[in-house]
Amino acid sequence: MVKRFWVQLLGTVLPNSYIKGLLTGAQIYQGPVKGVCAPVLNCYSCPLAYTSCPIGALQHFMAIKSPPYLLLGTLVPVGVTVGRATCGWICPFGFLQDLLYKIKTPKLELPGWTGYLKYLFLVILVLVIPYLTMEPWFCKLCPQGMIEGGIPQVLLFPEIRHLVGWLYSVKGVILATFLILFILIKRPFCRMVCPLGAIFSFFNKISLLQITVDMERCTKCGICRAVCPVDISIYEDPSSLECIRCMECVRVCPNVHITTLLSPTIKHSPQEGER
Amino acid sequence: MKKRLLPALFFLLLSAVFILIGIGLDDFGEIMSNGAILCLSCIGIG
Repeated sequence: MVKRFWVQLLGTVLPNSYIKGLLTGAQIYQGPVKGVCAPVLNCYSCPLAYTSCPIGALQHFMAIKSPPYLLLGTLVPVGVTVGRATCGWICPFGFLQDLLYKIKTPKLELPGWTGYLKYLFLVILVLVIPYLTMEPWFCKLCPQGMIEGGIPQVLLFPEIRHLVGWLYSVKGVILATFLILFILIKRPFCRMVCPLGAIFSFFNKISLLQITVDMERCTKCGICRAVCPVDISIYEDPSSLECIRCMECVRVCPNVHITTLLSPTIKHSPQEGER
Repeated sequence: MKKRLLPALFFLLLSAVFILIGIGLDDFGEIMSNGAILCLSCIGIG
């Protein structure tokens, strides 16, 4: 199986490879590729970003009170085919969370109900408040925006430093809090906050890419949960809204399989060294 | 797996319709112009 780390690295570098901008002193890329929303949480104010953020674009459409037809037309096929797999394989912010969780410290668990919070964030901060106030309020608080946009823009362009105020401090505190949580908890942002994950989660039940568990052979040993980046036991619900289709459970357990439309069941027997 | 095909096809067809409407309404230009302006909210200064 393809090492997920390298795919995640590629998913982080490719949409953020506008090196020319840094050399020419451009604040952001302004070409036609900005009309494309990559199906990941990637800030379009990053000096290196080629693509737009789907959540930023969605808030914009709410603010101008126009249905986001093209955005839905690009996100829905992704969800229908692979569910939340983009979260597990190419999202830069998910990648950062995976990396920081590798730091060896005592770890914490999230209560199950916190998974519903992301739907609140989607409805309130991404849909309702931008519609009413015409301001992208999720962006104002987004820690990914701080990492990719806020910090590099303020460091690279001194002319905007005088604009830094209370909101920047709030975003800084939110980012710092999440960075600490990333070390202690498996993907807390994806599980509690991410509105894009909330949108894609609805497709996990119907997506063509599915995970199946051979329940006759499953011993419920818990190895799937131990390796799962979002801390779920896949045998409880293989179509779980929380599953990010990273396939770590498929890698470590011979009773968990990938199912697609083209190849009804692909059985994967892990090598001894992989267990 | 076949039972998933029908809803998937429905959503894919719906997406195609959305894309056509979106292109007709110049959503691409709207997303591009929005993304091409430095978002002060993202940076945390506006």
